[in-house]
Amino acid sequence: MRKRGQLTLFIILGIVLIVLIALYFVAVKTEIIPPLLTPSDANSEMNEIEEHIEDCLKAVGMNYLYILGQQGGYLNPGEDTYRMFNDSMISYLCWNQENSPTCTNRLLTLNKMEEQLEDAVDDALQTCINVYDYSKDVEANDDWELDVTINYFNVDFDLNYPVSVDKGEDDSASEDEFGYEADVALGEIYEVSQDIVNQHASLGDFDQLLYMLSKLSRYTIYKNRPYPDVVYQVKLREKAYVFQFGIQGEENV
Amino acid sequence: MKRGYFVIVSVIVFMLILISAVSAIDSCCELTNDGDWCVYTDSENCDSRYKSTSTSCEQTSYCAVGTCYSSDTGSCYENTPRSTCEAEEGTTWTDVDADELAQCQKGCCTIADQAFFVTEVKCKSVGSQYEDAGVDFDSSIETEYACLESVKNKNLGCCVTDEEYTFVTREECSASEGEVGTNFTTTGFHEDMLCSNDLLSSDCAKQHHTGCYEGKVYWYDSCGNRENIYSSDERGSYNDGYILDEIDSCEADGPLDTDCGNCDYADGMICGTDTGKVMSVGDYTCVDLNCYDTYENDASPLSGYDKLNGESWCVFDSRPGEGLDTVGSRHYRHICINGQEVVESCADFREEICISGVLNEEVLGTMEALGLSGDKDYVEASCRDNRPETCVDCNSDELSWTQKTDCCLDEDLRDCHYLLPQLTNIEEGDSVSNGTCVPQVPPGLQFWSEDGTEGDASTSEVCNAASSECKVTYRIGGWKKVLGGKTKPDNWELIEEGPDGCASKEWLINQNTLCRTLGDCGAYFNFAGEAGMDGLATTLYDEEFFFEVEELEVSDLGDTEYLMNVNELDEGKFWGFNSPQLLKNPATYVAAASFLVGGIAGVSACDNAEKANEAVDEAEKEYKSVTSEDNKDDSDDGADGVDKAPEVIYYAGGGDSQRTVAQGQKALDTFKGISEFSDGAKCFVGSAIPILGLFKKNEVDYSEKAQSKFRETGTDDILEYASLASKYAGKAKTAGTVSKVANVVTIVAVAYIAVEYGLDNETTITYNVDCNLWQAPNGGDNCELCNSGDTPCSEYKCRSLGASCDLVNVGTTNETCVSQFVNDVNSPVISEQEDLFGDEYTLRVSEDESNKGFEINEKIPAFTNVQLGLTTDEPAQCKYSSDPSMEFDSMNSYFGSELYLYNHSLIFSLGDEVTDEEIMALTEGIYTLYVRCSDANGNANERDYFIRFTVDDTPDLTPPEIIFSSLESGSYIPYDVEETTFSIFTNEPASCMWNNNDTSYEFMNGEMDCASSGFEQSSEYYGTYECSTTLTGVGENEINRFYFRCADQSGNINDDSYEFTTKQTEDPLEIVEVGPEGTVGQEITLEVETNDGAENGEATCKFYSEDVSYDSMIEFVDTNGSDHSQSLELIEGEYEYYFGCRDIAGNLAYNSTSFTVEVDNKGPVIEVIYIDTAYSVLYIEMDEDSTCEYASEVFTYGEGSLMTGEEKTGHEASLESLYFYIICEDLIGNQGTYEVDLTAWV
Repeated sequence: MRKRGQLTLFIILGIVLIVLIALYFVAVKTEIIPPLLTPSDANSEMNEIEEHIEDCLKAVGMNYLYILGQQGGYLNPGEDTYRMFNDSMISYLCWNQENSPTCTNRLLTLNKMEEQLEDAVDDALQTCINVYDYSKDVEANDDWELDVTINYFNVDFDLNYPVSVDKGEDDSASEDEFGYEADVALGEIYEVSQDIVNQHASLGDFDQLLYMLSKLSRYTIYKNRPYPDVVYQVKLREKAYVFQFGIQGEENV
Repeated sequence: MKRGYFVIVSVIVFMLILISAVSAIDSCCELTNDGDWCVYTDSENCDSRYKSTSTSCEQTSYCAVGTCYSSDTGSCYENTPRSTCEAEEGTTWTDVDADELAQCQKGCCTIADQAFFVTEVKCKSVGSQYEDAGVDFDSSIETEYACLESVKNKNLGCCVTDEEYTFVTREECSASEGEVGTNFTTTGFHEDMLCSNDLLSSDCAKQHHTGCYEGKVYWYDSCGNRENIYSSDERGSYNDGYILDEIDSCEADGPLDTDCGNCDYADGMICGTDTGKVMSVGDYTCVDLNCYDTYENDASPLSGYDKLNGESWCVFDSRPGEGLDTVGSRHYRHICINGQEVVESCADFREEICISGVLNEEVLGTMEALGLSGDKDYVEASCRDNRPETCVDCNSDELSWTQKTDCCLDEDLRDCHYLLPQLTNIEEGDSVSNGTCVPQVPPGLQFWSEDGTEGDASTSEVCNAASSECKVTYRIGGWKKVLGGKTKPDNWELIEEGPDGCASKEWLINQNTLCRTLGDCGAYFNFAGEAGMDGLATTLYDEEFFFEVEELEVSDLGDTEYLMNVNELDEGKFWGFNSPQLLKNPATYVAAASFLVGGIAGVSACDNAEKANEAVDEAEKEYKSVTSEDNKDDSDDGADGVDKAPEVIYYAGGGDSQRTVAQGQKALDTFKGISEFSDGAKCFVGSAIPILGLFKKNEVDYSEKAQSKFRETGTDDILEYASLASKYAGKAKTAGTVSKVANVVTIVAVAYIAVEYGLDNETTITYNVDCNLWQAPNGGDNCELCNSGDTPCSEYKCRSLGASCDLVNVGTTNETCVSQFVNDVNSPVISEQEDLFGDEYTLRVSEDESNKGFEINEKIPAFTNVQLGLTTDEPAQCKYSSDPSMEFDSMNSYFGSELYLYNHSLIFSLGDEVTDEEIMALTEGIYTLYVRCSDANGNANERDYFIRFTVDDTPDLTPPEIIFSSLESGSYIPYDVEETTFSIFTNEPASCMWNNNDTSYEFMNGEMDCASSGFEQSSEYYGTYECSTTLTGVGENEINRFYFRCADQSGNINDDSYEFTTKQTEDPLEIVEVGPEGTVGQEITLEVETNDGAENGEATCKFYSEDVSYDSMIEFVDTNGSDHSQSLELIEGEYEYYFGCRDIAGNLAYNSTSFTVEVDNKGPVIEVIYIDTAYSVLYIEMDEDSTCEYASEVFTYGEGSLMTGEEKTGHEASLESLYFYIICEDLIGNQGTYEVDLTAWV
């Protein structure tokens, strides 16, 4: 009889234990109570920081990529180096040669665009990145190093910014490298723009239709003629990113 | 004399204006202050450390163009200035064309399954970006097409690694070759297998979705790997999980094929978005590349037809060619690409023309190409340069008319049209001697000026070439003058007109035709078919006495239907030249005719008399011959033969002696008479005065009588001669009679003429026809035709539509042609733009003319964005206010945009104070915005246009949001500054507070000045409301934290604070070192070193030659760090330069330096000279560092032997000679020459 009573008790306790365990998991799952074994705070905070920095890189980087495309590869066009067209300062990539149909290549290079992006994004990140908002235990370098690489099919923003979260007692996390890969084929579009500039520089004109056909319509090129210049808008057919630039013309009237 | 001075002064002033005008952009800067290389710009923009020349860059050595090659990227940049190229790292400049450079030769670069036609270095450069991808360069592939095709043969398959399944090429797969089923491992590259193949046991589900690849629709698996070309036959296209070649895939019947995604680009298909949802699976289908329902206009014969992908064709604003292009018109090239009709404008001002041709057909002449019409198989078009410049050369007087036409119609050299008096086609051999060579497509000119005066003088010169004179001479004859008087125009006679017929409207029309074909000159139509008549001015209109020329009318310029519609047949309406015949004086004709007739008749009479005389002579001879045989006694005196003739006749008669003597006497008389007549005729012929003949006796009667006597008495021969004499004498008689009558007429006519012309009067008048720049029609009623959107509007087009038309919003996407006509006093008519409100709101529009506007029927909640839309009947700026009857200029808020637009939209939200109970009680929740719009002429509507709405009184429970602040968190403020102005921007009007501690709103003590009404939006950041304050108590050496919270007008308060941190600069920014100092050479470097400040000395520094503020200084070329420098080249003198530096926190530091520039223009001087016998050398020591050369005779520096010690004071030369010529050059190029003679020493 006692044995049966003891057995019943154990069964009841077992059921209660199972119910309690189930309730615990339900409560944890529904975030009513925190889990007993939580993952490292430092790691989660580090993840948030990483996400924040990459969001900044994306927002700032895409913004300047857009401006770079709108302004013909120059973020701050200098005096006499651009014309206004469709609300944008369109940089000339080829200077007018007096009394000649050909023009002089201004020599926009990928390096130049990378440098401009690096400077502009670097400055803008100062007002975007704030790792201290994400952890009170964060330590970060005073400065960072940004590297922008314009690839054929995309643009890489690589930020070297040592950040660490140290909560003591083996709870720490650190990260040095952050990055964002912009899905903008700027390198490829740049090649198209240079093909156009080279043809203008050597032949004095460019037939966008023949070019588009020869590339099996991979690109869409619009040719505009705000007097006396020529403004090209280049994009990949299925993409939205537009790179527009000017060929300086000569006023004859 | 005074006039002469005036002209000279005017010319000088004009030259000065020209010089000053062109001085704006006058130099080629090797480097500009903005950092651009080789820019032709204002010399003030040139970086003074680099070269600049007052010429175009191509003419300079440093900016000469050539090919720039980048060894880093493999890119070749053609026509690149030398300095531009050399400024880049890793580039090489050469004057060789890119085509001839081996580095610039392209080949086929394949990276994984992608192919590019690029240089080898470029290929490697791009390939290096994708480490795992195999890179291959094939220089033997010479065309891009072959290159793109080549990748289709790449080995593809599924690459299985521990981590993932990817469909790639063998080269891309880092895993080694894999075999399926061996030890159940699938890791490796599986050629020809799709990643969803069951044998690979992947988690990738087959045929998950579709996508575009290489222009075709492909299946993709759930892992994103490409599979085979899409087909509705899913099983067939899956091919049991293996690659199905393109050739074995389905064939798309055409665009929008519902079953197959194998789009054939050559057949006008490409993968695109399936907007019509024709595919049962996925979002992509084969879309049509061809173009349908293309833009059509009547002036463009190729427009309106369906076009194939890649076709291009010309579109014109008006009929092109033959000098008919209208003012403001332009040529366009339309292209069909990827199913889209794209417009490419040819250069404005018709600097380019559009030429069409049909593929695989003969190349057309210019006019044929311009007029190519119909639905052709495959048309290609191009904008090319218009070449009218040399047409005028073909009108040279030195050329024959055939040379002129050959020159004019030489399409290799020029685009000209041979303008004939009548519109005819010029065929070989046609008589075209009176035509003029004019531009085929008249070039556009700037016929307007920015200041409203006449157009540019140089463009006027183009027109003036067709200006001409009409010289007309009128005469009144003496008779009319005496009898009728000079004041009657009818009494005056037009006697000379140069050119012929010029005193007529027809000639004027012809002159205008010539004028307008030179460019935008004369009277002609604009592209909208409206005429501008003021470009042709003539004094012919002023003539009222001799004749009247009617002013040109629009109908005289031609038929606009013909101009605007190529299908309209030409009826010769554009040309016509009816030259009037010159009137001749009839008296002159009569006199001349009678004189001529009298002369001819006289000559005839003389001739016949001569012949009669000759017959008599022959008769006489015969007679003498007879008498000499029958009466030999008389033969001793031949001279008396005639006198003895009666006796002979007597003898011959053999009758009564008395009768015979009488007959003989008569015969003798007859002979004498004929003889005399003959003499008179000779006199007449000799003197050519027929009037002499008038006084001759009618000797013919004698001749007749003599002949009868001969018949009675003479021999047969004598009778024959007498008969001849009689015949000629008869003719002479008739001619003589005619001559007499004619001579009488001549005398009368001459007498008339003598009076007519002796007492006449003549007057010559010259009329000018001035071909000026075309002038746009008055007003600006048609300006908005430019904004139709069918073709791009430009300033040239806009200006052509009316003298008051002008382009506004220049450089924006809303460039708009508007009227600025002074008489346009009508304000824009405002109406609602209902479609902008969407389905959410409906409008009740007021029909009351005196109270125009609309009301929104539905209630609008507070802070809900509502887009309000208005339309104006002309481009206008619109503003709004919450106060009625406010003047337009006094209103502060633009209705969405500051541009002149037709459609205006404003995203508007109301502050929640409008839902306040008290306010609601006052206003009943009804609010009104008052709108006014102004056109470009400044006409704003005097009556408000109202927009009324009712506010939803549902309570606002959402606290305000602080969106951003005027300073970025974390920024520095200057050293020793303890306070700073600061603003936050909220999404609704709110009362905000701040505190140094993160506490609740109620405990915050820092007050802020905030926008209190929904109408007080920030002017700088649209849709936000500003709260400003001065943050105080910024402490040193610490991060200062400020917290902000706001309460909106409904009492909703932020629970969390907006945090702003700032830090005061610990140490002031310092300029710790400046330079140069003391005495320096001409080339100096200004140097500044900064320290401390916000970022350890990092600052931006500037310099100036005067002590001015930082903002007025010039920025160092090398700055934005702690070391700053600027190179300068100065002339001799003392200098003081001032420096200013500012760091990111705004800390400023100033300093200056003084120095003296000395110019060394003396060559080095020998201070010591001796011979070192031990080493057999000549040693010299100079007073400054230098490099010396020597020779045994006179030489040029650079060609001598170098002495030891370059750029030093001591120099040695071996004793090879006893006579040394030495030249030493110091460090800045000053030379000293010396002769050392050692012979005496020896």
